[in-house]
Amino acid sequence: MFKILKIRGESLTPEYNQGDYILVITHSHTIARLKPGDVIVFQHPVYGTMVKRVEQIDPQAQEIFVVGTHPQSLDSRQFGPIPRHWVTGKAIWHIANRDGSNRAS
Amino acid sequence: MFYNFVQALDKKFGFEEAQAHCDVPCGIYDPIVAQINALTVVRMMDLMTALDEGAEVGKKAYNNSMSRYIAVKEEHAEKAKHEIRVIYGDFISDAHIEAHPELPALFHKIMKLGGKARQTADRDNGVAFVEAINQFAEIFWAIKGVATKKAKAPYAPALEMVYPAL
Repeated sequence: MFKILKIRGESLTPEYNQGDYILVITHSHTIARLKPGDVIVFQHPVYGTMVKRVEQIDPQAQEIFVVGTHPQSLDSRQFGPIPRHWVTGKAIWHIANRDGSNRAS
Repeated sequence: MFYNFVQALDKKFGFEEAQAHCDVPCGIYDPIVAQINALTVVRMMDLMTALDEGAEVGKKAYNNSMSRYIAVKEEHAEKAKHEIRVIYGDFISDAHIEAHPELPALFHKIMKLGGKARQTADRDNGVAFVEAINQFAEIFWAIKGVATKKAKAPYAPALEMVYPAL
C-alpha cells in the first residue's frame, strides 16, 4: 500500500534532490487516477525503478509521458511514453533533506 | 527532523532507490581523458626541447620530428579543452557550482592555459595546464563522492596526477 523510496540522480532537481525520500502509495485505484503534475514511480525494463513527473496522459493508449526537470533528464523525450502498467506508485509525500548535506553536490 | 528519522530507518533497513536518471543513458564522464591529453602536451614540449639540443637541428629529420611534435601538442591541448568543456557543460549543474564556487574560474583558467599550450612551447604553462585539470578532476570526483589519491604518472613526464582511489 505504501513504501518509502530514496531518490538517486538529479533529473528532478531542484525540487527533488539525490538522497531525498518519497512516500509512495502503491494502491491501484490511485494509479488509475493519475494526472499531469503527479510524481510517479515506475519500473522501466532497462533503467529499473525510476521516478519522474507526469506531463501528459493518453487515456486511449493508456500511455504516460514522463519528464524530469533537469535539462539532461533521461525520460519520455528519449524513451517515449510509458505504458500505464509500468507504474508502481505515486509519490504523496516528499521528505526532503532540507540542509542539503546529502545532496549529490 | 523527520528526514533524519527516515534516513536512520534507511540505514537500518535499506529502502529501495528510485532512479531520477540523467543523460542517455546515465553519462559516463571521466576527467582522466583530459588529464592524459594535458600530460601529452608536456611530453611533446619535452621532446621538442630534446630535439633542439640534438645535432640534427635544421635538417630534414629534425624538421620532420619537430613538426610532428607540434602537431601532436596542438591536437592534444585541444582534446583536453574539449573534454573539460563536455564535463563542464553536460555534467556540472548549478548545484555543483553552488557547492564548488571555484569551478567557473577554474574552467576559464583551463581554457586559457590550453590555448597558451597551443600557442607556445612554454613548459611551465604546460605543467600549469596539467595541474589545473588535476584540480578539476579532484572536484569532479568529490561531486561523485569518490575519494582521490595523488600519484606520479607511470610514464614520462611523470607529473603528479589525481586519480580516483577505487
